[in-house]
Amino acid sequence: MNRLIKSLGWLLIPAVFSACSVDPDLSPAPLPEEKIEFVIPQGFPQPVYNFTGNPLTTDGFKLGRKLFHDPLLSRDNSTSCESCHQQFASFAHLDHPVSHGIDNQFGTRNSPSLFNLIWHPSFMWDGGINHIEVQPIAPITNPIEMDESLGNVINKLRNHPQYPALFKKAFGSDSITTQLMLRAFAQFMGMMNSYRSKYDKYIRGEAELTLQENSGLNIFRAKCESCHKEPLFSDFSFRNNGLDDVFPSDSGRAHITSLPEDIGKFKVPSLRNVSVSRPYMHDGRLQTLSQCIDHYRFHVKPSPTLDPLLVNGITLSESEKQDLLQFLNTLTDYEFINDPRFKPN
Amino acid sequence: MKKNILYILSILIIPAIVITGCKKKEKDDDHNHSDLTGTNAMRMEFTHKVGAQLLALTTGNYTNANGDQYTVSRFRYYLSNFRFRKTDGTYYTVPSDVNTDFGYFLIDEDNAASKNISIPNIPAGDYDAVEFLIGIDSLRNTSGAQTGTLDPANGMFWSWNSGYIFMMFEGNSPQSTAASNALIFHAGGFKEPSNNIKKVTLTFNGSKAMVRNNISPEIHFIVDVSEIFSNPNTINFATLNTAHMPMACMPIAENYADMIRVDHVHND
Repeated sequence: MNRLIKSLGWLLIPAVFSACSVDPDLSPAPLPEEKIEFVIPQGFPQPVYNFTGNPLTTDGFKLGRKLFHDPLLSRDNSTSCESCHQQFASFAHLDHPVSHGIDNQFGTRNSPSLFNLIWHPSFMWDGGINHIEVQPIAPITNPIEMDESLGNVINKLRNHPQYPALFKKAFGSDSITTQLMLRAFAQFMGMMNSYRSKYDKYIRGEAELTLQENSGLNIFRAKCESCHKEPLFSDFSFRNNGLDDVFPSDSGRAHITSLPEDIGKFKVPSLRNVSVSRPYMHDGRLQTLSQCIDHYRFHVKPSPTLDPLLVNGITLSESEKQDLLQFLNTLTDYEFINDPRFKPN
Repeated sequence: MKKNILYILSILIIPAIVITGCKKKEKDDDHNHSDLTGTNAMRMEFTHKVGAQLLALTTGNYTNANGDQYTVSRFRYYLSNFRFRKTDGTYYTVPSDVNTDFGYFLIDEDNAASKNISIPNIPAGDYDAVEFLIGIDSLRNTSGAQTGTLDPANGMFWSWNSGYIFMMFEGNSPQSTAASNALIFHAGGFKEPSNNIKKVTLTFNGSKAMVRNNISPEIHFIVDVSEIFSNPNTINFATLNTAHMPMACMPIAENYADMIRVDHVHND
């Protein structure tokens, strides 16, 4: 058997070489994965954003991808979206508790991982942004993130050697507007979808969970599911999960609503790809999933807006915790974090 | 003597009135036939004042109802969702299309052209009132990336709390306790309980705007900046000098609801 694999390997190596020896002068034939179309993953609900009014095209997607990776969108051309949203970390900023923006400045919140955004009814930890198309405005214009005005971004794009042609290809018009830029972003971000984890394959009957993972799933469904609802692993509500008992520097949802009942509430994050997108919580204060689970077991702090489901914390034995951690690993979507379609072009 | 003159005059005038009146009626009927099938633009001009004075950015010195002095460096606002009332009580509603900014206006003191707006395709007829929103309706606040006057690059959009800034007032007051004695009121918010969209209904004070094939009426509005700081809430700049969140802006929005009035209407 081993020998068979070895000999197959020898046979395949020339294939790899031939794949690499494409004449650089010939424009390569588009890879099959470059064909962009949206299909609702099996078992997923209807998305909130379904590209109505912004028809998804491969060229629109590719333009969005280029914008996402382009530091030109920042004031000093130093910082792109990708600076804080790295694909290998499920588009979070690995090991950065809070976002690290222009001029070496730090924000106040943990830059979230990005995927399945078209199912989100709102964006940001406080839900302040109500539509995927207007989301990019916030980091672009935020003085401690990219600190650029929309007007300047549009001027830079208009005067760029490539963008006018790319806009023309994507939208049939080389007149670059905020609206078209934001629509291109939405096409790219709207296709950054995670639905090929081991968990998904298990749900579709394409893979088996280990005994421990399966036990973890059962524990998850009993103790975590009420907020981290399958299959998106969030109910997108705003909750105070007891990290603090006072909220002097970041009132969370209340920053948007000005309502006292929203103080200390943050959007429930999805747990997909959670194993690869540390650190955790809105301010990135927890470094490991073990610490997160222990927070719910031992450290929930009471306050007037604490979520009623967490008043007594979450009771888990040590072995249940280990099973749960095993299950959370099955939510890592390696095909998503390695998908060549999302890499810079 | 007087009586005689009146008598003679009345003999001369009454038939004249009746005759011309009849003629006019015939003429009107003729006109109505063609007029009712035609359209024309309704033009609107906005003059910005502070009380009785014309608004002068940065140079004008004003006093609010609380006795606080102030200057104005920026004054902009959105108007949208226009409806015009005909004398028969029916309304013509200006249509909107989510793909364009048709019917959405950003009026800016610093942009003279923006203070003269025109809405085309108003059906011929006699109009005696107008209705509009100061602000942007909830649908357009939640419809994603938009263009033209609704382009977020115009600086009238909150990036962190999606939605348009309906009214932007910036200035200074020695009474302001904010940094550099600034006054910064960015008022928006389309959701309850802090919905700052204000619906305005104004009659033409008994005048009519007569839209005809060959008449594009012009409604002259006066927008009184001083109203932003009074009625119903008298604003004290020592205690309220910056507001840029929906709830914090509510007293300002309650005030700006009546900052616009109709001055007169031209039919030419």
